[in-house]
Amino acid sequence: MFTEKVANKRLTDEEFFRIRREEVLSQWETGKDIENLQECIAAAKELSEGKNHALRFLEAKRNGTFILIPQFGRALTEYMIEGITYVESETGLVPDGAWNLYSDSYTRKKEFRKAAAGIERSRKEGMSMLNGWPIVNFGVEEARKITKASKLPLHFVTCDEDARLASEIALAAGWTANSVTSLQECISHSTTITLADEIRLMQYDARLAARYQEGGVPQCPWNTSHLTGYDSPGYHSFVHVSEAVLAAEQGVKCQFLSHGIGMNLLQDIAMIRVSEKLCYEYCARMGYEGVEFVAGVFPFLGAWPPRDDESNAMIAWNAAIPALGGFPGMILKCQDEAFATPTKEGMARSVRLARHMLTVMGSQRIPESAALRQEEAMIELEVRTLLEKCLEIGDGDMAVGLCKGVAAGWVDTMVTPWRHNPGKVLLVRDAQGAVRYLDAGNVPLPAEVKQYHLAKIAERESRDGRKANMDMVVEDLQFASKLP
Amino acid sequence: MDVRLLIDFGSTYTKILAIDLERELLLGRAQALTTVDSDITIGLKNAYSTLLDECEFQERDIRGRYASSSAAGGLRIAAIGLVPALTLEAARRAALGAGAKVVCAYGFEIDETIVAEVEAAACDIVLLTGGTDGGDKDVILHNARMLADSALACPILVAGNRVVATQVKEILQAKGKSVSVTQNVLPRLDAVEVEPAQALIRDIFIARIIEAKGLSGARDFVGGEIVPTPKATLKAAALLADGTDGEPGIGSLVIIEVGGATTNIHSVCSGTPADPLTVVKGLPEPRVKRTVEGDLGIRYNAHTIYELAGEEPCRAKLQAIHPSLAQESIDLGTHVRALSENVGFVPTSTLEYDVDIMLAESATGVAMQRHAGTLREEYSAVGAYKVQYGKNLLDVENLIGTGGIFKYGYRPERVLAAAQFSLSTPWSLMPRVPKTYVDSEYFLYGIGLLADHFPEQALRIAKKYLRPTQRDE
Amino acid sequence: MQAADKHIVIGTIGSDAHMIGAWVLQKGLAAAGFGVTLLGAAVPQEEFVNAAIETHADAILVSSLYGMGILDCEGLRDKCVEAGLKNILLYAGGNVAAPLELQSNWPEIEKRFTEMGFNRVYRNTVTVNEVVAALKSDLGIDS
Repeated sequence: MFTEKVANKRLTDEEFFRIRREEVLSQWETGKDIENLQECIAAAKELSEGKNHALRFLEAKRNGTFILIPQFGRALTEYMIEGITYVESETGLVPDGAWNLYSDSYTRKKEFRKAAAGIERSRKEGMSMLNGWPIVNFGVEEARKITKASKLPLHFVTCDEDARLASEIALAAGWTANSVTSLQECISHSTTITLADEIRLMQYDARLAARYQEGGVPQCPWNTSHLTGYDSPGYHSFVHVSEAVLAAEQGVKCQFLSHGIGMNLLQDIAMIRVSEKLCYEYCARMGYEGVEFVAGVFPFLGAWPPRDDESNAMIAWNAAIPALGGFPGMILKCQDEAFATPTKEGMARSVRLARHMLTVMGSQRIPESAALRQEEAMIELEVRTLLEKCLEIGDGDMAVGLCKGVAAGWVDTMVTPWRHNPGKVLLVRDAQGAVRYLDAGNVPLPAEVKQYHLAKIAERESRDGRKANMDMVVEDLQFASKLP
Repeated sequence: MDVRLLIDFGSTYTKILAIDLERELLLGRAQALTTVDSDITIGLKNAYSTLLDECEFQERDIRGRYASSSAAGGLRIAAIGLVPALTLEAARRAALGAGAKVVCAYGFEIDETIVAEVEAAACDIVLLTGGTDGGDKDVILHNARMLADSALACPILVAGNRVVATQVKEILQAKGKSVSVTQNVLPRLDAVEVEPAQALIRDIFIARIIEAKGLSGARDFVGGEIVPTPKATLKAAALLADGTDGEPGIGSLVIIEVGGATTNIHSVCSGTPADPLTVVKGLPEPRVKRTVEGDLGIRYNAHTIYELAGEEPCRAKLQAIHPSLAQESIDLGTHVRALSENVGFVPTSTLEYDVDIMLAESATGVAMQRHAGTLREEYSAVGAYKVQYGKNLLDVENLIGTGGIFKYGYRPERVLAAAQFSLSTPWSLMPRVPKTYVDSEYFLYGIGLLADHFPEQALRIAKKYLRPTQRDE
Repeated sequence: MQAADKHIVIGTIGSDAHMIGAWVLQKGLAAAGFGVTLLGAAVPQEEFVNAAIETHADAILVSSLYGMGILDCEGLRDKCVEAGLKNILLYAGGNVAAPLELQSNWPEIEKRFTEMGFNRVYRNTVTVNEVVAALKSDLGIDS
């Protein structure tokens, strides 16, 4: 698709509109309904009044409150509206909530013809035959019906390599957050796309969000590190900061940092603090003024237990971590997900569970401690080393450095389907359940960090009376999913 | 007047159709017994003089002659491959699409017994395939050695693993076989490429087989090449469905040809699932597809049909066509056996006609179930999903009957109904609501003969003379 | 004969995006000394066969975790034969069948896979060590 080299450089108006015309709006017939960008921005401004993602999230951050974010996606618009209004009215989600709305697998792969067949079948059989809402097939007018039906900010999850048309439709409908990632998308869902190509696709999504922002509709794209579910905290933070810089270059002013977590309280909180701190620091250092970040937690992405009771324990613990860390965004998973796509009743149950966690936990936060400070320091050292190496090798250009880092093998994680990932890294859990490098591969860990990880692994080895090895790595992959 | 003669040397009759290309009219037809055993031109001249006697045009008005032939057994091919569902299937498709009859087909390593069968099959060409390009070499080399040592004198066409093509050729040539090599019919596991093999089959047919079958006199009369009759019908099918730049076709179609020895089905359509969520298995299906059922003909194989369809269902079908069956004295089994032995039998009574219709109906049903794909439902962790094998004909727009049984013009709708989707076989992807036609003039082969030279006129003539039939509700 | 002389192709077949099974096998087999090619997730049959030709592989290990394993694996042996890999080992593992009656009736699943030309089929509880032992025995490697 692309031939020229990637660079962390803002798209010119000329480039943006050429891509929009030639590559984006032409992907499917609903593209023609959003040809006039000015009109779309004006409409989005009106539609998102009172339920703007960026404004709500920044407000929660200022006030120290939480936003509960259930997730939902169904084949037909009427099912979407039914589910959204049900959860909003049955659980008291309004006003401290937001929606994470996702499309179906076909839409994510741009197989719009198949999605169209799924819509037909859903209509015929009277039930949802797709695992999400096919936003591109339905187009902007249908998306606006959903905006009007909800009282909350809407985020459109774009877990796809090329979600540019979906982003266009979502933002034109007054949804005020798309997803702007890069390495995240490759590691999570891709097999063959190159990082350079993915960055270029995402630069468009970022520039699009920035245009809405500049047109008076504040935007809060999601900068995510959901990854595989089996990644080191340092890698998570590194992904966030690099993505923050790339989005900021395109003019994005507010980003939601959706962290995949390892479910170790101390380590997860340390990781998120480091991400937020370094996102601010690196953006400022690179000359992007006034960019805001709001942190949040996405439920564990590794294997889940295949039974309701154990799933509920997971949901509760996943809510406890952002609560104790004081991170405003709490994305919710639903117990149905072990077997099927979430139902509206299941989602309502998760909202009630999380809300009650907040009630009983009150204003308890994690106390500051030497252990927490040390964990933060170690992660920060790892992430800084990676970021500096990127900038050095990329000659100040984060995009170039990132691509070179993957190619050279020192930007690395494990268990990803992405072919370009070096795949040398091995991670195990320590005696407290924190994630440690058993083998850092070619990741340039400072000696101090490497020693720290090995010492922590040694504690587990002596506790368990056996050496950490590949078997232990495999066991740990299933640490949360095994039933007794 | 611009008269064109369209000649078909059939196994029994030599037929000539005369059309006026200028006015796009069918001027007349004539037939005489095929005389391939003595001199093919005798029968041809008999038919020709009848035609001139009966039609109102002069010999000088004739501007062109075109011919097809299925005389002397047609074009007989033995197909040899490796895996039955892969290279052997690709080899069969190559042969059938070239208008040949696949007289025998073998996968994996062949042995002396099989070689003897191939020798006995009196084939015109052996099509030797096996292995993808860069894939298995051993089996095709083994089979080449076996064929080299055989008594076969016919040409051997090699369309297998490119890597050993030269070696295979040398093995066969060393023992004096006539060998032609072309591209692999299955170069990759997901790509069937039969066109190069088909082009070579056509060349061999023209260069050698016409001579060998005593058709050279006919060629001199025609003044041009002679094509295998089924190839002509396939060309007509493709033209009729797809049209030309200037003249629209009638859309996707299926042609049913019920004969005395075989039932042939031709389909022209994409064959992809109606629902794109369906999982499709098997080799990719060709848009223009022909299948030949050698066990389903209403004379030679009348008894096979009777056995395949079952005695009771046959009787029930006949009862439905012929309500007074109970009052008639007929032993169906005996009658059907007699038909197999007396293949020239021409029905005279209503009951005898109705037995033919019943047999044609049964043969058509079985042949279509073999030609059409199937759809079944499976269950997985993510819910129910559908799996399709073969070609989806559900949305085919036209269904055409041609040949023997349809010439009578007697109850064609019953036979065509057997080729349509039925709730009793819901897994079989046969046409749901096609428009139905009968080629009562038996001229489709002629349309195919004209297709290369005058496609637009040919198409308009076809559209003019195909007779729509009522659906059998 | 040694493990290092043997090459194994591993991947998750069909439309299945799960990575864990294939990843674990890749690490485990590499640690046991085998040459390993990991094809990733959602790998079509043709790609398994082509990779096996390219790498001169001795075995193809197919992971399937979403319950459509039987359908996805059907025809793989035929393709191997056509591609000149008549004797290559084929193993499948994971949640290879979804219908509850099949999942609870393991002998029936084993029979189906044997009929499809697979040498071995495993449940999702299989360990890397079991697979390594089976490969060594099937490939005649002294352990």
